[in-house]
Amino acid sequence: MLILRKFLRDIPAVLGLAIVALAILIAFFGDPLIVDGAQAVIPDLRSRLQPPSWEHPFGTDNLGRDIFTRVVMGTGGALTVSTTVVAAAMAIGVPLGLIAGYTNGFASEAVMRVTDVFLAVPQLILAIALAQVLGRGLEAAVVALAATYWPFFTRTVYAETRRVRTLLFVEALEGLGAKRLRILAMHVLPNVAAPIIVRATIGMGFIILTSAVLGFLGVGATPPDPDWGLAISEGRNYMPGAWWMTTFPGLAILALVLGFNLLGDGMRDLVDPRLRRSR
Amino acid sequence: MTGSLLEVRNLRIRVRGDEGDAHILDFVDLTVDRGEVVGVVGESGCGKSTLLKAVLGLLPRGAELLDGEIRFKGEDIARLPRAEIARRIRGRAMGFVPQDPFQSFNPVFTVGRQMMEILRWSGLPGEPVRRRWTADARARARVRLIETLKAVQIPDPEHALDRYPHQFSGGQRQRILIAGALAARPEAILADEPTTALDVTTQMQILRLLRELAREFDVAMLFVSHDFGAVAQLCDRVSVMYAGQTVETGPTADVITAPQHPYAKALLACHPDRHGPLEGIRGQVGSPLAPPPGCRFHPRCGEAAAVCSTARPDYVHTTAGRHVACIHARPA
Amino acid sequence: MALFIVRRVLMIVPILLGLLLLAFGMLRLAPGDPAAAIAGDNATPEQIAAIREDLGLDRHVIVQFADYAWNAAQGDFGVSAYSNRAVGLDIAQRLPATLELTFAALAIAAVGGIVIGALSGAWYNSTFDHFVRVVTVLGLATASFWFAIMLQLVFALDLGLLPLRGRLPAGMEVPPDITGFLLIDSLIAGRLDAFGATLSHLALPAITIAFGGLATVARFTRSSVIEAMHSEYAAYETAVGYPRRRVLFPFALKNALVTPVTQVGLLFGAFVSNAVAVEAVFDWPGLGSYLVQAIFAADYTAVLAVTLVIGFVYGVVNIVVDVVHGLLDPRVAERM
Repeated sequence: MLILRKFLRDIPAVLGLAIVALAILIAFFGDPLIVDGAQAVIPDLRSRLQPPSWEHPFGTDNLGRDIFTRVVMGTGGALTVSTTVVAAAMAIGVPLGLIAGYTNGFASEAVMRVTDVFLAVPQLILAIALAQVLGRGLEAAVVALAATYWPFFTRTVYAETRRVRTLLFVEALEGLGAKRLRILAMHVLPNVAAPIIVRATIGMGFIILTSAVLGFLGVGATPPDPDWGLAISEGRNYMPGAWWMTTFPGLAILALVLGFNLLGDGMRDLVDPRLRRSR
Repeated sequence: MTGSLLEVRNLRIRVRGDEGDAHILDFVDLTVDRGEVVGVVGESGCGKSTLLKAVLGLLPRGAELLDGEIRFKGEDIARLPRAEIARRIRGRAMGFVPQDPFQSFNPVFTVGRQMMEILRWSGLPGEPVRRRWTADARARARVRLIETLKAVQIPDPEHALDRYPHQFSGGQRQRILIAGALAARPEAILADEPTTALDVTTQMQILRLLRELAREFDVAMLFVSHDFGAVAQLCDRVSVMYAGQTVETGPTADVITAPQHPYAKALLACHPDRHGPLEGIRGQVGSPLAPPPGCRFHPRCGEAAAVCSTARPDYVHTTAGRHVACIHARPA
Repeated sequence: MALFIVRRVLMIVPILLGLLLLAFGMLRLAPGDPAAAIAGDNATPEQIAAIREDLGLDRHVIVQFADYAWNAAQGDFGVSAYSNRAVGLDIAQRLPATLELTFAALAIAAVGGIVIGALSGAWYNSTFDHFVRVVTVLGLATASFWFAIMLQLVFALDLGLLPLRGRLPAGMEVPPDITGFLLIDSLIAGRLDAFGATLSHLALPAITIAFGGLATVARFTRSSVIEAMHSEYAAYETAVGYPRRRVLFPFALKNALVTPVTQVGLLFGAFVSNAVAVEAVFDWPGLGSYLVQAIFAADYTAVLAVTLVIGFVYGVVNIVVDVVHGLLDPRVAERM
């Protein structure tokens, strides 16, 4: 349990874990926080554009909906999108990375060249183009993000697999006649798991940011979704009077991304002391 | 003032750490005369490198001088302010040759630039350190560096200065580092296991070179190593350390042919060049955090008596120039 | 070194080809028939067929791709089904605005990040260092389009210190277009008023985009300065009498700069991404706001053309970064 003790000594990482845990709790059990679920979706023009108050801690939007309620509801959405994207990107990227890293020859070369092409354009730009082609909406955005994020996993896993493969025991196993698939699953994968987990944690924060941009640009979530990026874009039209409409959803993004980043940094320090950022 | 160039007396250094205090040096004694080559030998972790750091005023944070003195030309430098050691001693009065020629060069500067910097802050030999590093001074420094590189047998020294460290082999890099130590024409050179990272043939060449240079430049040398063989080739006298204590000093030939301290005997018995059965030393070096009381070697010593675990034995002058810290040692 | 540059440039060719294939594939995947879109709602099937033939859509896929690639290589990305204008010309007109913005941001991020990171690393665990670490961690977690709006709220709308949007004040005569970079064009024309106005318009969007990148550069610089100061060579340099300040500068710092410099290419990618939303916020007449317009108009030709151009610029920037890396670290060029 030395690793746990080391982790607990890393205050920023513990803070990150706390933020992430809190967000998950809110996503699953956040209902009691919400004044009235209906308020978040049903417009109430009598109470539109009200500044923060005890009744509406984050104020209300142009349709009279309680922003605090919508930010709380958006937490689940942000976590669902990022979890789905990261899981899908892992499902594509990790096996490809394993194959490319473990074998030599055409398949390996082809995978890595395709990866290069995907990494030759900033991910957001490619995701925008793809989401656009797939037709707007949240599903298209999720597919587009996953389809452009997998190369990051492939590259990480590729490099790690190359490293592990040269370790003696893998060669020995092959010499003993073990099946390739079995070696990959039983011996290589556990050894490359740690960097994958680190990559995935940092990727969560990254995808939350990117999907917020998509929402903001109108290629992601569609109204009346309580999406944070979309909320900021809606709030822009009511500046500077209703500053709360843009401020609070943005702070929510900041907090959640910060949580994942701190957690990811802490895990990287545990996994690879070489990369320790001398905190 | 004695005639010795460098004199270390009863040096005791303690390091405060998270897990307690460590007495990393405990009564270390050493003298180096002008033009003399002295070896310090012992297992890794015995405090040899710490000794060099102490002389250069480079002890890590938390290290504390408890007792003893380090005299250089009669002056106690152990208590000088760090800035003054940096200015007067390092590079200028004492050159330094590091252990690892692969890691010790800054990879993104030419070797010339790096050696030049030594002369820049130590001053050209016989001149004070200049406030301004003029083109004229640089040109003369360059001439001096080329001369020195020639002395360490670097081919084409003129061009070597403009090349990057990775363009040289390990042995060549070590020669350049030796040239760096000699550049300011210091009176002493401290060498920290300068052959450990090299292959055997290169080791031999470097040892021979050091021997020649010591004579040619009339420079004293303190040579730290774990390798008795290297010490035997190079050193006039040798000092054996165990767990932060000096256990035996004497002329190299005498110590090697007839070691008197049980640890020196055991260490020599481990040496593969020696004829006869190869033996190990039983047990392990005790933790510096909780060193055994008395003679630190007694838990591993085959000749230990009851008294060894209570009191540290005094140095006994056995034969000419020989001191042994052991109750079994008999005065001459 | 020359050989290294040539090799590095050649490496980009297959990647660009792959990118073209990707863009072409997506274009074919896009819903709707471009011929029908151009022909308009009242067109007869014959008219649409004629336009199809005109556009070459009736030919074999491979021929179409070769055609697309050949034209794209010459800067011709086709005609927008939305505006009926040549997309390549639109992009050429707007690219300098985006480049001016991203290069300004890059300059802020590189200079600011390196200075802050180096100071923070040289005095690590000081109060300044702790402060820098908090700010950089926040910088990496901030959504740039949101930060843009916050800056607008405070500096433009509330304090009125800086302009809210655009590249120049409305009504100010634009200096003659020579490079497309207003900072340079205004100097060439000797128009100091336009230069100052450009700078003040550039400030908020450039700072917005630079913030996250500055955090990245500062973090990398900080940790590599700390690493360099604890290296064997720093210990050696101290032992042979270099003063501490010299061990730090230039000796440790030049080493420490190698890592952040390799990050600049990645940063440029991040900046172009951020520029898309930030340009929309600041009404900056660059590629980003063009992309946003194209998105709303469902103009696939334009969206993919922008993607390709950004991919190309990104590739060029990465080549430059690798060459600078090779100049900074003499071992790199030889390894290739």
